[in-house]
Amino acid sequence: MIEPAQYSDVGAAGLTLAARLFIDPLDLHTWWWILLVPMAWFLSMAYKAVRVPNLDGYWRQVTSMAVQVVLAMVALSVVAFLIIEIFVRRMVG
Amino acid sequence: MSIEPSPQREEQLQPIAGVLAFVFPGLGHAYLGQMRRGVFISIGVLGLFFGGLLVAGLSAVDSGLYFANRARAISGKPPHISEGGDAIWFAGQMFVGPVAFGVDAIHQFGFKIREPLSNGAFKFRPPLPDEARDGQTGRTAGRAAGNSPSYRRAIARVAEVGTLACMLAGLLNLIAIIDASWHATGLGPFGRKSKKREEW
Repeated sequence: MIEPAQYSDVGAAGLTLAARLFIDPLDLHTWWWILLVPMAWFLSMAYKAVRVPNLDGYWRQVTSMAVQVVLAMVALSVVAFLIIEIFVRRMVG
Repeated sequence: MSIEPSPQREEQLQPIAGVLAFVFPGLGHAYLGQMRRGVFISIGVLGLFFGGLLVAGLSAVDSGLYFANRARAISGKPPHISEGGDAIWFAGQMFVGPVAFGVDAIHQFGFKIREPLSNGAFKFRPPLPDEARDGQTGRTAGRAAGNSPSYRRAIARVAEVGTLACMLAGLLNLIAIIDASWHATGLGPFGRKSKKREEW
């Protein structure tokens, strides 16, 4: 016998499969943060293509910038986490 | 052994390159003879733009008919109403060029529900989750359980990341447009004057 909870699981899977690419959003609500990596990569590609005077070291510069962007976002999230979980809790408590 | 410095070319205004950079990302630099640079700009900008579109769907690009209504105002026509628009985000996204305007037009006129207003204009709104759209008229085909809407709007983080990626693409292309508009030349259009292009 299928429980109601299983019905909803099947429904969610069906919705994911039925998503029309570039029209409907992808069901990435749990994994949205992974998207920051390709975003940082493409951003670095376009920015460094304009900025570097010589394209010989282009890919190294792109990789370096993408890593810096991702690390900066991780650091910002850690700082925001600490502010909320420690300082704000202390202020409220 | 001495290395001869390459002759410095003076930077000057390049209006054609600037326009081409707006028409298609990377085309301005390609016009200036920097093909490889143009390809990298194109991949970076369009990768971000279509990546955002892939993640958040059509709802990532929504001008709220801002430009269409400005054009209608000039010709004395009443403005359309567009629900769910993000004109502020589109202000950044529009620098991707005709690609962004095309995606926005497809979103507004091809996927939103169109409702006629008493003043002759239309109200464009996203479909409800169980609302079908008549492909011929663009009007609602009614709500019923099991109906598939013409598109679904992204919500929460997925919407934010997708919309942000599309806007970043526009802002990066704005940098490329400015760079191409004020640039050294000497290779001629698309590097034709040079036997060997500056880059590949």
